[in-house]
Amino acid sequence: MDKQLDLLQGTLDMLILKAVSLGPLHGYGILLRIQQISKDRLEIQQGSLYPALYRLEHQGWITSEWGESENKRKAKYYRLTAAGKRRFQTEAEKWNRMTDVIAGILGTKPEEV
Amino acid sequence: MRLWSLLRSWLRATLRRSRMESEMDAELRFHMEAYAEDLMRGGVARHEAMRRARLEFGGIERVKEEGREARGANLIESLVQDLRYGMRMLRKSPGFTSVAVLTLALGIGANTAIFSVIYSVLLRPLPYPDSQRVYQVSFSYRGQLDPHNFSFRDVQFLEQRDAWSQGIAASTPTGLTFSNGSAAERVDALYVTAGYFSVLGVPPFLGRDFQPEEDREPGANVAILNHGLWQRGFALDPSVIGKNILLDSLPYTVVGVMPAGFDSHPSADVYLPIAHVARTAGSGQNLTVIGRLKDGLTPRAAQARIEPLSEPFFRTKNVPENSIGDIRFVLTPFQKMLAFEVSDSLFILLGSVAFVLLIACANIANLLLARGAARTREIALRRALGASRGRLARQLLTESVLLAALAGICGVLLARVLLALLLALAPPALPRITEIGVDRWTLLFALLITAATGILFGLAPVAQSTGPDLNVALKEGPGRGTAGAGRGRLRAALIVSEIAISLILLAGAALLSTTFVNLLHTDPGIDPHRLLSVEIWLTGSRYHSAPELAAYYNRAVEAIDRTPGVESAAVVNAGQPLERGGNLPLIIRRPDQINSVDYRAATPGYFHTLSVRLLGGRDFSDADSETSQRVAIVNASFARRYIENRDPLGELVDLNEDKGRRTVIGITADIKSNPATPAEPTVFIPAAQADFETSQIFDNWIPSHVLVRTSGDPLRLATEVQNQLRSVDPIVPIGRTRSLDQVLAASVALQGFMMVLVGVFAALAVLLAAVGIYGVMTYSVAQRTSEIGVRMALGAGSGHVLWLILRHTIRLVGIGVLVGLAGGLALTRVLANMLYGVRPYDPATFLGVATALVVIALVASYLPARRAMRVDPMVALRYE
Repeated sequence: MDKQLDLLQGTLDMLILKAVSLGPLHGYGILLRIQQISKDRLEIQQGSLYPALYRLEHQGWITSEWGESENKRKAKYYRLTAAGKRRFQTEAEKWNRMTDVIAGILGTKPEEV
Repeated sequence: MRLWSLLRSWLRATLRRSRMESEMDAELRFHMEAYAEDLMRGGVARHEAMRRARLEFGGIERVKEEGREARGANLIESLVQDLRYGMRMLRKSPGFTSVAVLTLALGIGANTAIFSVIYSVLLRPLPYPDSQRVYQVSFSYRGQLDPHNFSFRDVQFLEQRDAWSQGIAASTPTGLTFSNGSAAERVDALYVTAGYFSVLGVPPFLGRDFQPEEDREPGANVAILNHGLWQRGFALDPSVIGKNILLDSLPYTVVGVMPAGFDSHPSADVYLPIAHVARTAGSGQNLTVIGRLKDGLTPRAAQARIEPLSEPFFRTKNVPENSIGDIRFVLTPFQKMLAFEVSDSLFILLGSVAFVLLIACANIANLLLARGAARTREIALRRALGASRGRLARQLLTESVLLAALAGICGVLLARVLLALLLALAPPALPRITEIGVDRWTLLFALLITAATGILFGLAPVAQSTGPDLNVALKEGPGRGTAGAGRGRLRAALIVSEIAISLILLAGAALLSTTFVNLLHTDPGIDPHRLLSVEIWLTGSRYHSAPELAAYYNRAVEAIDRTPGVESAAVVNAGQPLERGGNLPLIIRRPDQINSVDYRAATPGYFHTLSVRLLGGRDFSDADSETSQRVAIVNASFARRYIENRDPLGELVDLNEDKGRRTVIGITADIKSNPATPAEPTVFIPAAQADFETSQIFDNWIPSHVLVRTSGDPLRLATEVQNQLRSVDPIVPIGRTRSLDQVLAASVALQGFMMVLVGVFAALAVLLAAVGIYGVMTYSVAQRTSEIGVRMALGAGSGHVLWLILRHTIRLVGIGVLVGLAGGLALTRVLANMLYGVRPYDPATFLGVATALVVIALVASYLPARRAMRVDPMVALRYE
């Protein structure tokens, strides 16, 4: 149980950073953007988005301000900070290396061992 | 930078709590409404859309809680929560709370009290500017520091070759009769060199300091007053400068007044130029030498500069050639030298009292463990509901620290009471006693040990409670089943250490008590019961020759003899029994061999009054006068040491105090000056034949004593005897009036102080350990009730059950006693210098202490074990 959650949590952070790197978004917008770019292949518990957002903001990787939504309502918009941008790059690189390694391992054929 | 943003975010979350909350509400609401709108756009009915939005969002409170935590907003909140919860837990079990708080408060209070003494006596700098650069000169012999005093000539030697100080100064105390014209009182005076106040760094605040020429013979009659005497005697009148005062009937001009709060060591009411005593044989040889380190010179460098003086100096002192290399000058911080006699004792006390606190902690830890076992289910439940281990550990620690804090508050209050008791018992050797109190450093210390104890005993339940497997813990009913193995081991270790520590303390206390009893029962050479001693000060009196003094003594003795209830009386000059006295150089036969012997001048009837046996020859009589044959009586030590293989009677001795030798006419049994050391070789001479100047020198720093043998309680006659003395001569100041039993008690005051304190600490330790064992046994019997029930139902007898319960304790006590014996043998060595008539590893003491402890431990565990024997199998089995 725990391990899955941890993995998901780390990944969620990265997905959020990616989502807001494309432009300021409110929380619901981030959810929609992730679902859109993942082509609905990822299921995210809606509520779990917010603790992650607050954590990222607390760490200083994103920052927020109140603005007006598409349908003229007050909404809180999140934006990537410079530190967040650097953080996202290193995280993404790490992630790519990791997936490469794991994909390599999983793709190993019996005769290659 | 990052730290700053974290802090800012945390501060915002904490300080702008309500704003954060409402923003969070608004944000989450926006999310759900936006989602619902999207759903409605897809054709879902409004009501259904809102329901689904809430559902899919998940537990909104949980999201908010996690959000708060993510921002660190919860730190303070959860602390407050923990505190509130902790208070509730403590209130819920008032019995546990009061026992724990009381136990700890005793420990913390006692530690704080002892620390405040140590801090004031040993650590707090003396109240002089840069006082840590004031050093005292003494010497060490084979590495042993000897707080020796120097003669005026020695001081000159050190001064002429001084390369380490900005100036050295010497001082020696005396007592004088002070009169400002209207009233007379006995005051403490300190003879000082002209540089004394500048070495201390505190000049007179009124008038001027002594001038160097006032320091040279014959010495100017000038005086500097301490603030206290200025206040008492002159009502703070500044015109006192230039006025004359009488000290021992001699006129002195007041030239200065010291500022308020200044005190010298030893403290004094008035300061006089040292020239007055510099050449005398008595005070002139008892100078304390201090100096202030040269600027920029480290203590080590200063030591290197004074050390080369050692050899030439001690060569002039006739130190045997082969010992010259073993003896050298040492510089020691002045403050440290002041507490030279007591510092070891104080650290031993601190060690003992720290042990008591450790036992108290072990007890509380044990209590918490037992309670923790009962709370296993509660804690498992809270973890199942999502509390993290860290969060639970924090809460348990908060409870412990809260407990400690309550105890700390009580402890500090208690410390004041304990300190007052302690100071009432304090031996005279304890310096700076007026400075001792509970101040902010003491409070800081109390705070530190409180926090440390809270964490120390709080760790045990934390280690235990956050460990066990949830499923097992949840399935177990409260108070059922067996205690976990790890928990049992921890508890066993606590019991073992409690017993070991108690044994060490008990052994120390027993050794000190034996010492004290030995000292009290050592034969002082006199019969101290029914004996009254009155101090009289004869310096500055109207008597200016030995016959005049002797006549005064005779009149005083006659007057007291006539008093009903008095059996006999006598006067002694230069020191009474059981107190320090004077000594003089002595020549027997060979003029090139000079030895130092104790000297006393006494009136006829002295030995009779003290009940000292005469071993040979005759006592002094009224016929021994200034004009008759010069005679002396020696004690047994003298005869043994100096007169081998000859009859001491008729031997001629030259006391160097006057012209002409004396014939030994009698030998007495030894009379001790200190119960802990054998009597020194002593020469007694008839007071009527004493050299007047010699008597005066001794009178300067040791009072003469009138000793009175009474038929009943000596203190009942105190006033009557004083009145008789006043009727004979109202001008002679009367000092302390005590029974010889009191004098004896005072001479062993430091040992008595140590015995009482270590004894109290040991008793406390044993009591706590017994309570601890009792508690653990009670708990373990309760835990095993069902097991015992099963065994009894299967036919186990009560003896078997008793053994089952006691077996465990006996093993723990056995291990504890062994550890304690090993520790005790290692630790009681620190007492070695304090013991008298008993060795630090005295087998009988250790055996007795171990036996006593085993008995106490068995009784403490037998009481709960007996309960186990009475278990009714039916009830026990139903108990499940």
